[in-house]
Parts: sequence; structure tokens; C-alpha cells
Amino acid sequence: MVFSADALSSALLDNDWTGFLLKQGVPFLSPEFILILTLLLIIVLSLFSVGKTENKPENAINSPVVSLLASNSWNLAMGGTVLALLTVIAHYFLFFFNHFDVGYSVLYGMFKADLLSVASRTFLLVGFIIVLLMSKRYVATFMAKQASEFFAILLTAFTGAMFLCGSIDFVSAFVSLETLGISSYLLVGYLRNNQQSTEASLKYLVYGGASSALFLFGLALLYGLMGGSTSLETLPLALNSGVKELSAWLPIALVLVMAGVGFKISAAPFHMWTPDVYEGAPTPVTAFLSVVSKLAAFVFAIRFLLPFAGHVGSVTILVSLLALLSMLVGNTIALKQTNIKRLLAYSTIAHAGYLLLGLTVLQYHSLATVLFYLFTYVFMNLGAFACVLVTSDLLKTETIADMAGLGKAKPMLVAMFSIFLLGLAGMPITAGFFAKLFLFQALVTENPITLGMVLLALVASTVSIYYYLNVIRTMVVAEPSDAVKALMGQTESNAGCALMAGGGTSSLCGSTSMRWAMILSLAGTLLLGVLATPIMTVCDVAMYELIQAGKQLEPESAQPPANVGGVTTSASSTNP
Amino acid sequence: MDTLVFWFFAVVSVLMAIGVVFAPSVLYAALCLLSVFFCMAGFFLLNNADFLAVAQVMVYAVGLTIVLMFGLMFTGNQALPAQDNKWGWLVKTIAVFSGLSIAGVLAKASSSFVPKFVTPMAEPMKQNVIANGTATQLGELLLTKYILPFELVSVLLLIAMIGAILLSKKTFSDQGSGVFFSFDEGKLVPEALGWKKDVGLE
Amino acid sequence: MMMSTSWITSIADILPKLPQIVWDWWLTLPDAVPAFTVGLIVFAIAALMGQLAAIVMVLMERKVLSWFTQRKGPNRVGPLGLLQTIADGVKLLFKEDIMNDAQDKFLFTIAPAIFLFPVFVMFALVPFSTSIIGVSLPIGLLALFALSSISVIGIVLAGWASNNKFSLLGGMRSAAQAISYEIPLVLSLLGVVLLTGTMDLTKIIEAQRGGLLHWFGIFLAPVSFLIFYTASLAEVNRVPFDLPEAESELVGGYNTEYSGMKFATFFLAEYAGLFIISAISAAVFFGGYYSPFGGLIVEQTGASVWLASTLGVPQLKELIPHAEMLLWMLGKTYIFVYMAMLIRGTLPRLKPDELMGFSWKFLLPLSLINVLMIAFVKLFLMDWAENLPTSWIYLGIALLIAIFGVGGFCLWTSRSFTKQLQSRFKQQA
Repeated sequence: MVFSADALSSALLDNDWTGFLLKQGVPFLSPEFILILTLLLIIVLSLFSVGKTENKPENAINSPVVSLLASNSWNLAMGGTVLALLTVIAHYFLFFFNHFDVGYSVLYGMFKADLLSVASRTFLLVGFIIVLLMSKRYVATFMAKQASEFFAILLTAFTGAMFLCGSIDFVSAFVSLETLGISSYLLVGYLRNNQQSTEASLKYLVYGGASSALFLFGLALLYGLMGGSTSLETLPLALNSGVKELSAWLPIALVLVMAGVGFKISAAPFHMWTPDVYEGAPTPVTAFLSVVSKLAAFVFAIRFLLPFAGHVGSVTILVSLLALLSMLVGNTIALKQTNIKRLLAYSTIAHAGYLLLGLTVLQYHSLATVLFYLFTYVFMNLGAFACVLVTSDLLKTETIADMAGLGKAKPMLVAMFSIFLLGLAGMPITAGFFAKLFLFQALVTENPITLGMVLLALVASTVSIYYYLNVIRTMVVAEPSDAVKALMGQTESNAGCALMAGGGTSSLCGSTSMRWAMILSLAGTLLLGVLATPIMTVCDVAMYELIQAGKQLEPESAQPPANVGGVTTSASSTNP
Repeated sequence: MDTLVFWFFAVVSVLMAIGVVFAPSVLYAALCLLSVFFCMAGFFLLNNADFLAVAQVMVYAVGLTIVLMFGLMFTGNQALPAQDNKWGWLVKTIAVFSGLSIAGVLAKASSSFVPKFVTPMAEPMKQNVIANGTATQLGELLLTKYILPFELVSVLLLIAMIGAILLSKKTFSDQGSGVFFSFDEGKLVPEALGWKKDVGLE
Repeated sequence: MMMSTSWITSIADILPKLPQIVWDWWLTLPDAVPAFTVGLIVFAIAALMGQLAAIVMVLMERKVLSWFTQRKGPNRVGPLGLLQTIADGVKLLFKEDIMNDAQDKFLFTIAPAIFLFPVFVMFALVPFSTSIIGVSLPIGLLALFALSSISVIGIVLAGWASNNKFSLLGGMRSAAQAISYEIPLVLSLLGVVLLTGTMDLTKIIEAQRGGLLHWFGIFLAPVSFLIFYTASLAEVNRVPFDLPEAESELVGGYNTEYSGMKFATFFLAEYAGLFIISAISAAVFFGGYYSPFGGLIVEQTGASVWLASTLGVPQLKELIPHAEMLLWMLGKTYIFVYMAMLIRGTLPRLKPDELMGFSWKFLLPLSLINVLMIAFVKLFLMDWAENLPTSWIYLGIALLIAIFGVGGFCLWTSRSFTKQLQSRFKQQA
């Protein structure tokens, strides 16, 4: 959509704000607006929370005022998210009845409301609901006094992720990436009296700052290459212009941008922060980072890389390098891990490798399988982190060896944990199996070049089965460790073991919200396997439409980049 | 003239950027950083971006550097502990080589890059910018085309501010106090004002 | 003898032609040199004006303060003590410049310069008439405050380089104070920028040409003016915000260790800074170089045309209006300088926590409310103002802003109200 100042001024003259907003497609942003309003509401309400600062840390949980506040901000956040989810679901109907086959540019081409953004935002919202469910009791236990701020920051980070899903402009992409990033730094360091958390936050900040700088530098180069336009939609135009300088600069710009994106999805050379941050951050935040941030960044990566489909050479080399390194690093180092959160961190890196593999050839079916993989990954990983949260709360430790024999104390918990881990390993029954199957199948059938890499990926996932199963073996087969024995003593004295954990001593595992989080994740992990075909169809359609939309911007038919604001002039149209 | 000023700023900014790394004390490094920011403002001015230049001076050169110095002065001026790293020399060598090679690649690429893509501003437009500044156009763009990122940035800054205040509080729920500015009186002030009595739980 | 006479005659021959020769030579120069030279000349004039203003103001301050305290003030050097400042300056020039070994020599020397330079550059941006202005920038107002904020670095460096705890504390206080008060300062000016739609000082003054009723400081944005004047007093470290150099607690703050000309530099820059903020107050809020009756008196009455024709000097027609503008501008500026001195004679110094609290808890919310109100007025009321007697609308706007200002004042100063609420809630719980 070409920018024109006339639209606004004519709307102002006619006093036709509704018409203007509709024309700019603002209703498509309703879930984001709901989220922003919610977070502002939480901040404002926390201002008026009388007596909030009067409580000392030790009686924070017991105070009815504080727990009321904590749960209120949680209720608000949850309500806003559910409302946003409903509006996103309503967008599907818009798509079915109005048939926007190539999507709709919102607010002067800053945001694309197409099936890709709607579908990915749906799963983001579902994932976020699970994160909220996970964090309810956690926040009430560990950070009751700062609860409202916690949820406000979490919502901001999430809003950034939501915007990132539809960003088709460098400016909006960078801003939403930073919104996600800066809020994440805050969240990671939220346990301020915990040294590990603070260290993780600092590390994340430093790495994140550096990678944002690289990302921005890459975008600046592309801005120059595209003749003074920031829209991703003019990228094909610049690529097809056939100017020979492109060959020198494009790889550099590509590497720099992928460094920024690779940081967010924790792909291998940019993965250094992952284990430390995953270990140090509050566990719900870890879950948030591993899923929400990754899904959003991947959607942006798809949008960003797709225009390169005609010039696939450098992209293939770069992305497959990242993918191979990620698989290698993730899977090998995960073998030696003793801490369950660090293990999941390296598993995340490995998964980033598999997912990147799907981006190497940039054909629509393999991209669709990447999307499907991401959707299943949301549930599996969130479920695994929910189980980690409960186990570490029960045992007061995160070491894998201390989880030995947990199956005897908490059979249901261990059963669930095993399902999630098997899903991550790509075992049948779970959706993880189908995700891997579809991905590798698509890669092999669409492009035989990647056959070798698919074989490598198969080897890598075979290796990964070892460390996932090792955790399960420790929990089920091994003799109970001291921590588990202590736990068993407690549960015997406290009868009334409910669904999976029960036990009056622990605040987390007995909570209903935690159970719902696990049930939702479990349902997702299993149902996405059963419903693989319809969801895969949605992914296919989304990708197909994305590619169709890109094809409509052929160099011949497309407009030259608009002379934005009169400050810069375009050069690409004068240098065909 | 423009070329002369550009080269002046370019040389000074590179020298000062090197100075940031090799300065003998942290405060001198901060000062070098300040000079780099000023040179950046100069580059903006050379490109007729007057508003950006002034904003650069206001936000980066002054606001940021002062906060930086503030932090440095409170944390003292100790040298960093020397690190006994066996592989330090290797890391340094690799870093220097990779940096030089990146610089080389950029130089090679830029030798073929500049003239084709960057067209100078059209003359009437340039005159308009010189006469009226860029602030008006910038404002119009921010409130029309870039309204979405602009509003998102406002949310981000709000949250970043709240988060920074929250994380930098002495205890997570302390009352604000004026003890910050007088070291010796620091212990006395809260009691003298009766804040403890008012606030704490007996 | 012969040689010298011919030399003198040849000089006498050349002398009348000299301007022409210089001008021809000037035109042959490459483009860069004239631009650079003009810049230097503008800066030199600005610096000179700054020093002159400072010299006048130092004497004025001493006199005014002595009147307040029923003393005579300086009355020995020159008639009525008028040459006192010059004598002081000469004394400072000849004083020993003391530096001790523990000081950071480089920073200690460069700090006064960093403090002084931006203030002088600011003189080039202040319009004294439509043509007596160094450079008229489209973003002049913002540039002024960007420059004014640079001087703070000088103070911080001076405090640190002195290697003296009082100096350091002074520097710290100054940094904190400057950062805190800069926000309400800029926000208060934002109101005026919203109303005029420009940051060019000459255009802002032009918008107030209509006279008293059109001055922003009187009816349109009085709250803005109050915030601006208060915050800018803090920016230039004037009483009651002179904590960085509080004599009674910090000896002399950041300039404790300074002596001789370096001390004089600080002194000079402070007074020049006061002049600048007074000039900006006059320009932005009180019609600048225009008279309170609208336009210029000599133009309204036709005095300049009459004088030019009766004296037979046509150039006077152009010159006299500028003289009047200069008169108005300087007069208004010195009124605000006088006000600052009056405040110095009246108010005690704030405590550090009060200082910060005043900025963050009172001035900042108030200026935000003010900006919101002015935006509201601009959006909804300005169209009506076109059709109605303007002054009444202005009055209404002023009342509205005042009401909200007072409301904000009540809300934000009554922390006791919040505390009462808290304790009541605690009792219930």
C-alpha cells in the first residue's frame, strides 16, 4: 500500500474517522489493541492499589490484600488474552467470508493481516494462555508484590511478538522485535535477589543489544539497497532489478539480519545466551521465551526470507549452515547436561536447527511444515516446562539426577512429562512425530538437494532420543533419590493426592491453574497429532497465499517505491 | 566545505571510537563516547537532518553520557581485575583478524557501492529542507505512515521505564528517599523525617 | 625620510580603496572560507555579548541584593561603583591559578571551557530583533536546550576532576538536577510549539505580534511560563535551586577548587546562562521584541518615517524599528533577570530530596497535564476562536488551563491525602 498523506487529511476534512480506520484495516489489529489496553489497565490499577508497598517480603503471601492484587492483575491479563484470542478467531470468519486472498495491509503497510499472521497469532495466544496459567501461582509465591508489573511487562513482550508476526516493514519489525526483547530482559531478571537470574538478565541484555545492533545494521544496508524504502514488499523489486552491486552487499545484509533473527530463535552461532538465560530466568519466563519469542521470530524469518525465493543461493548456504550448526551444537551438548532446564535449552537449539532446515529451500510446502512444526512445538515445550516447574517446586532442585524415582511418588506427573519429552523427541502418538515427519518429507520431495541434510537431521534426532529418554528412564526406572524420598514422606503424611501432584505442602503443584496449563498442553500435543491434516491445510493455505501475494508484486506491475515524505528519493527505479 | 567537515567528523569519530576502547580510565572512555556522539550529530547535520542532530545531542551526547558518568562516579574508578586467560591471546588475535577482514570486505564492497544507489537529494527539496527544517515532515510521517511503530515504541518506553525503576529499587518494595544525594546524611534522613514510622509495620 | 613619507602616502592612497580590495579578495576565496569566517564572527559577537551581559548582571545582582538587604552595595570603584565588576575581573585575571597534584589536570582545565562554550553559542540563537540574530534555525528552540544541556557535562567534569568530595557532590547534584528539570522545561515549551506549530524563535515571536493579549505568558499558556521559568532557574543553578554550589553546605560545590580565571569562567557562564533563559522567557512567552500594544510603537505612530524624512537620513527608517525591538527585548530580558534576583533575595534553598521531588512529583505531572490541555484547546477550541472575539476565548482557555493546573497542584502536592487513605485502609484490614 503506497503511502499518501491525502488519506488522512481527507478523512480529517470529512470527519470520517470510522471510514479512515476501516480503510487502513485497523480492526485487524484488535487483538493487539486489546492486549495493550489490558496492560495499561493493569499498570493504572496497580497505581491505586492501596497498601501495596506496606508489606514485608515474609508476609507477602499471607496478606489477603496482596494476593488479591496479584490474582486481580492475573485475572485482567487472562481476560484480555482470552478476549484477544476470540477476536483473532473472529478474523478467521472474516477471511472465510470476505476472502482476502492475499491479506490486507494495515496502517500504511506496517502490518500484514493475512492467514499466516492470523494463524500464528492464534497459536501464540493459546501458548500465552498456557504461560499465564503456569505463572499464576509462581508469581503469587515468588513475586507477589510486583505481580501487576510482572504481568504488564509480560503482556508488553507478548504484544511485541504479536506485532512481529505480521510485520512487513523494517521499522515495525525492528520496533516489535525490540519490544519483545527489552521486555524479555526485564522478565529474565525479575527474581532480583537471585544472583543467577540477575546474571542471566545481564547476559541476555548484552547479547541482545549486540544482536539488535547487527540486525539494525543489516536493515540499514537493505534500506539503501532497496532505494530508500523500508517495506519488505519492495524487497523483490530490488532483488530483481539486476544491479550488480547487489551481489556484493546482499549477502552481508542477509547475514546481519539473520544474526538478529538467529539470536531470537537461538540458532547455533548466536545461541550462547540460551542455556544461562533458560536456567536463570523464572521458569514461566523461560517457557515464554522458548515458545512465544521463537514462534514470532520464525514467522518474521519466513516473511523476510521469502522474497529471496528467486535468488535462493546465498540464503540456502546461510540458512543450512545455521541449521547444521544448531543441530550439531544442540544435540551434542545436550547429552552432557545435568540440569533439566539447561537440557531443554539445548533441545531448543536443536529444534531451531530442524526448523531452519525447512527455510533452506523456500518452497511453500516446506515452509508450511515449518509452521506446523512451530505450532506443535508450542504445546510440547510449554508442557515440558510446566512439568519442570512442578518437579522443581516439589523437589526444590532442577538436577536430573535428583528426579530419580519420581515416578513412584508422582506417577501422573511423570507420565505427562514423559509424553512431552517423547513429543520433543519426535516419537509417534504425539504431534511431534507428525511435525518431524511432514517437515522431512516435504524437504525430501520438494528439493532433492536437501536430502543429505535431511539424513543428518534424522541422525541428530536419533541422538536426541537418547537424552530425552534418559530423563524418562531416570524418573521411572532408577531408585528414588533423597529428594524424592523426602517428598514421598511428605505425601504419605498429607493424604489427598489429586490428579497428578496434590500434596498440601507445595503451593505450585496443587494449584488448579497449573493443572490446566498441563492439561491444555497435553491436549494440544495429542490433538495436533490427530488433527494434523486440517491444521496442515491451514498452514499450506497460509503459505500459498503468502507466496501468491509476493507474486503479485512482480517488478513489471509494481509501483516504484513511493517518495516517502519528500526526504529521500528512490534510486532503484532510475537504475533498472 | 561539506567534504572538509565530513572528513573532520569522520576522522575525529573514528579516533574517539578507538579512544573509547583504549582510554586509561572509564571516565575518559565516556568522554570519548561523548565526542563520538557529537560527531554523529555532525553527520546528521551534513545530511540536512537538523532535528535528528539536535535530538542526538540532547538524548545521546548529554542525557546518556551524564547518566553514564553518574554511574561511573558512584561505582568508583577501579580498574577491572586482570583476567588470567590462557587462551586470551588466541581470542584477541582471532578478534583482530576477523574485525580486519570484515572491514576489508566492507571496504571492497563499498568501493563498488556508493555512486549507483545513493542519489543526492533534489535541489528544490534540499532548499526546502534547509529553509524549514525536517521537524515538520518528520512529525507528519511519524503520525501517519509510521504511526504503528510510533505507538508501539511509546508502550515499550513506558514499560521499559517501569521495569527499570522496579529492578533498580534497593529492595523490591522500598519507599523512595532523598538519601541519594548526601552520603553522610544518608543514615539520618529517613528517621528524621519519620518515614520509617509512617510506613513500616509495627 | 623620503622612504617613510612615500610609504605613508601610498597607505593613504590605498586606505579608501581597502574595503573594495578586501571584498574582491573575499570573493575570490573558495566557498568554505567565507562560511567558516562568518561562523567565527557570529560566535565572536555572541561571546562578546555574553561577556557584556554577564558584566552588567554581576553588578546588577550585587546592587539589587544590597538594596534588598538595605546595604549600599559596591560604591567605591568608579561612579556609584559602576566599575566594580571590571575591577573584579582584572583581579581574577592576575590571581594565581592553583592546581594540586591529585587533580586530573586535563579535565580540570577543560571543564570550565565545556561549561562556557555552549552558553556563548546560545547567544547566537537568541533573536534581539528581526535582523539582530546570529542564526535563525527552524528548530532554534530545541537547539537552545540541546546546547544548554551540554554545560552540565562541564560541571560534572569539574566536580570529578577537582578530587574533592564537596566538588564531587556538587557535580553529582548538578547532573541529577539538570536531567530532572530538563523534562518539565522542554515539556512546558512543547505547549507553545503546539500552539504556534513551529520551533523557530522568530516565528514564535511573530505569532505574538498582536500585543499583550497574544502573549503566551499572559493568557494562552501561563502555566507553561511558570513551569518554564522555575525549571530554567534550576537549569542554571540559581537560588532556590543552587544546590550544586551551596556555599553553606558544600563550600562552593563544583567550583570549590577553582581559582583565578578558571573560576571567573564559571562565574561568567552562570550569569550568561541566566541572561539566556531570561531572554528565552521574554521571546517565547512575552512577545519578544514587540511592544505590548501590538507591533512596534515607532511603526504604529509612523515615528520612524517622520524622523527619517525630517533628518534626511533614509536609512533611519530601517534602523529605528530595530532599535526599538532591541530595546523591548533587552528590557523584557532584564525584567526576568531582575525577577531571578528578587527570588534569590527571597527564597531559601531547597533540600536535595525536596528538589528532586518537586521536579518529578509536581512539575512533571503538571507540565504533562498542561501539554494535554493545550493540545485539547488547539484541537477543539481554536476553530471557534476564529469567529469570536479572540481575547475572550483566550481568557477562557487560560482559565481552563489554570483550573487544571491548580487541580494538578492539589493532587500532586497532597501526598498526605494518599497516606491518610493508606492508613485508613490499613485500619480496615
